[in-house]
Amino acid sequence: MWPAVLAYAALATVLVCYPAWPGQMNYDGLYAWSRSFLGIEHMTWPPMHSYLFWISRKLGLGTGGLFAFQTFLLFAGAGLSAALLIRSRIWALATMAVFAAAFVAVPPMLGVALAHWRDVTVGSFALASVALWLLAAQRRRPAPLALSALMLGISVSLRYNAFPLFALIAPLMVWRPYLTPRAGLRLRAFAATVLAASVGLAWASWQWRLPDFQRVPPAGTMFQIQLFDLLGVSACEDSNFLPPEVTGGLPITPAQIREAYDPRHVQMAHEPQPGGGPPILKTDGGGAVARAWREVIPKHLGCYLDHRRIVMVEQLGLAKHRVFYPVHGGIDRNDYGLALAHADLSRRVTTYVERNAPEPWRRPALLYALALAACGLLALRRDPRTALALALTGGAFANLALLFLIGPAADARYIFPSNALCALVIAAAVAMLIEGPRSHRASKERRA
Amino acid sequence: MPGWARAGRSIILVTAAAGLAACEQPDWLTRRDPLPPLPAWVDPLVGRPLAEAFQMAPDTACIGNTEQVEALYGGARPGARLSGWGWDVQGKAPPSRIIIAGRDQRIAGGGESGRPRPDVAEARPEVDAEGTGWQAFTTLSEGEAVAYGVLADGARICKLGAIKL
Repeated sequence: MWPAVLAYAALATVLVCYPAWPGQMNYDGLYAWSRSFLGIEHMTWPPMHSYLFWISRKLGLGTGGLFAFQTFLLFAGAGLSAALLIRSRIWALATMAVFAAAFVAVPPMLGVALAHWRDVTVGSFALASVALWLLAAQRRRPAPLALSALMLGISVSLRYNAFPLFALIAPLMVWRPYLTPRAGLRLRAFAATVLAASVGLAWASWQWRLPDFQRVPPAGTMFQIQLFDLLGVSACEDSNFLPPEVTGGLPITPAQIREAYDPRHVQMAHEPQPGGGPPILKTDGGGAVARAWREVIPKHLGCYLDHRRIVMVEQLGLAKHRVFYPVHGGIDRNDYGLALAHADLSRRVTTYVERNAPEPWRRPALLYALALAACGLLALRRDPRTALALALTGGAFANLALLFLIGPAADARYIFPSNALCALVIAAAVAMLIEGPRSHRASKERRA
Repeated sequence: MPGWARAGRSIILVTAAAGLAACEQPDWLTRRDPLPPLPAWVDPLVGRPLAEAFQMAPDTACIGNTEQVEALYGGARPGARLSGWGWDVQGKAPPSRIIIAGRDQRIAGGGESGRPRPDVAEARPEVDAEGTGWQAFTTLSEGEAVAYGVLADGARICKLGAIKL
């Protein structure tokens, strides 16, 4: 199946990358690109994205090199997983087609994939890790298992909150390294060691920059999440819980806080307010925001959870009229000479995403419901592949769970990696349910 | 229907019901506060028929959209805050003023342009300004609201789209 997998990934890469070449970019992507030649100055964002841009630049491929690579890796990971999970070639090909169709059916998946957002890269390395794990299981070789752990580590290194994607995958990798009920202690120790080394390297990449291994200022963005929570709880409780430092000492009413509060993004609170309220400053108030958060949240848990719920509603694309920020649409003005190669085609694809994303049956939330249902059906059929499907779906839900607690915004891209895991589970489960678990007789024949 | 299919159907139904139940905006966020004062220039126009106050320009005179109900107000003074973007094709600038009307074609609010919308400038080559975003307040709180941009001559308006409240 290798030629089919490679051809599938190449075709999908051309179809996704050509219209948006060399990749749509907002501030985040342009900043990561600039740091690939200016050097890492702080750890507000993990530096791995800039390192990947650096490799792409050194290979003479510019931003497009990483764009094509991450897209190819994403579809190659899905394609190889399908080829290794599904026995029938026809159904494996159908699984690949369904996975690709998910990008058209759920437009934010396509919209996000058009851009240089690290969320896509996280998803690409995550799927590559799953595929290499399945390869290790099929060949019963430790080398692909080690590579799988490496991919997992790169995926984790790209975002501070990426590990929950692997919250169930990593333990399963240690417990059943070759996805068989029995595994030797040495093999389990090997799996645990390579995983620990990979995740350890990911952690180290957040501590010391390359190439000089110097420590640089840490992220320091926690106050934005806490400020978002204080705004939400204040709006809900009809009381002002903001420390005075946040409004520069000016008084603010709960109604003005409600005007400023927007569950889609904390950033929107910093924009000038239509009701003429005081500006809400982007400041930690010298620790005042953190102190207020620790004092207020435990006392107003109901409102805190309700605020977090409506942020998650936006995040999952369940809001009544819209999906928030499903596509960027272009390359922001920049000093690096970066511009879209096919601006008209990019506009058309962007319009497709914007127009179709709000359709109720095309919202990202559906992927999670369907993946969960697929796991249930596989479990009922006692399919031995259920454990893997559950580990992938569990990772997707763990990603949502962490975002529920720490999301400072509800951009559609934040759930791209978990969307991709769910899409793979759904696509593969359809084929697995149709072909059914391998019979004992077939297993015996295969062993013979 | 086999047992596994029945169970699958139940899972989908329960998940969909839970998802839908979670979608509604809570009472504490919506329809709680009264509508803020409308811009001073809008007040004398409220309630007047559109056709009496402005001439209708063809739809091609401007491009734009009414994208979002940003807030719903309630209590003694219900209403809504809307936003979108607009571009006066002939004037080559955003329409500085926005008029909101209901389905009865009577003026029910207004607002102004000037919000930065770099995404619009990126997506539409004919738009070469970033302040095409607008925000408007309306006394309407249900049904449909239609937004119009006031063109450069100040006498004509063109449609920028509609949205359900």
